[in-house]
Amino acid sequence: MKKVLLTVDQTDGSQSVLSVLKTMVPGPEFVVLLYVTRTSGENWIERPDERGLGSPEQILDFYRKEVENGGFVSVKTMVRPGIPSDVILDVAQKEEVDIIIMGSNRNSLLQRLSAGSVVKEVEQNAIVPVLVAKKVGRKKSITCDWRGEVYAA
Amino acid sequence: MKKVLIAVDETEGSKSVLSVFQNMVRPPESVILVHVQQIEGKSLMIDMLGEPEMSTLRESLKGTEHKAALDQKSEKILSFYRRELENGGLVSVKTVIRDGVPSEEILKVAQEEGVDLIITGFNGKTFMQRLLGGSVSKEMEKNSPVPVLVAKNPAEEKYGWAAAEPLKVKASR
Repeated sequence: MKKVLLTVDQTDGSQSVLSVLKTMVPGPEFVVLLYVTRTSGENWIERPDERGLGSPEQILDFYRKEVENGGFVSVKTMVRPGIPSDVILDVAQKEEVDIIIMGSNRNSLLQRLSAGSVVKEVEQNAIVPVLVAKKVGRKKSITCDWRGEVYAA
Repeated sequence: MKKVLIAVDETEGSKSVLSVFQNMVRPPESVILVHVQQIEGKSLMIDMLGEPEMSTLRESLKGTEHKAALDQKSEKILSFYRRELENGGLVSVKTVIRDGVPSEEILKVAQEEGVDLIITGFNGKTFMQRLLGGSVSKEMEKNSPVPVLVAKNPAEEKYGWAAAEPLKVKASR
């Protein structure tokens, strides 16, 4: 496979795309690492797993190292502002990737209840396959009792 | 990778799982091929059918001609995909037939079998389909504990809105 588009952000959930890339996808020749910066005023829901990991460049650097560690592969990094799903689809098309790998930002109960629309939009409108990675180490089945507490079944 | 679940149905959109599996996925040790029968027909109210209604429906269908026809169709679909996978060199293929709400049943099988990855086709081509039909892949991805790969067929999806270019308006005098 030639080209993979890996979308990352500053959340922990993004690291699952690395394990998916390494274990489930046969080595690509070229990886495009995309970081979409949020335009201001967009988030009214607090995202608890956002940590001050650093600037987009630092985060991309981390991912670049991780990808290159896996073997010889050409990596291109991009930072773009805008609506995540639009930017992802745009870059995927312009770069003519063979597959899009993205994380799923549904790690906490609150996030699972909220829209999760980026994945849905990309999944519906992409012209190439979309692989949605799940958070590493998540318990295999999680259910919620009436008090809204989450426990593993 | 140990186990991959491939969910298929009778639509053309499902066939994209084959090329995606051949080209974009590391060969697993085994594949679970799943087909979910729609015993409630093409009903759009499927989400409102709870477990009691479903089991009543299953009971009343047992031994009927309709069920036999459904089973035959499932067998045909599954043996098509099994053959394609085995032709591609895959040795261990297990087929599973379920009935009910597709996204739920697929996830149940995924958990029972302890798969590492789920591959499914994508069928939401027309606007009306997306509006009314919902999407198995979207529902499934939302609740899945393992990565989900939504296979697409590039040749068919070429003219989605994402590929549309802005209209260039010519000034005319």
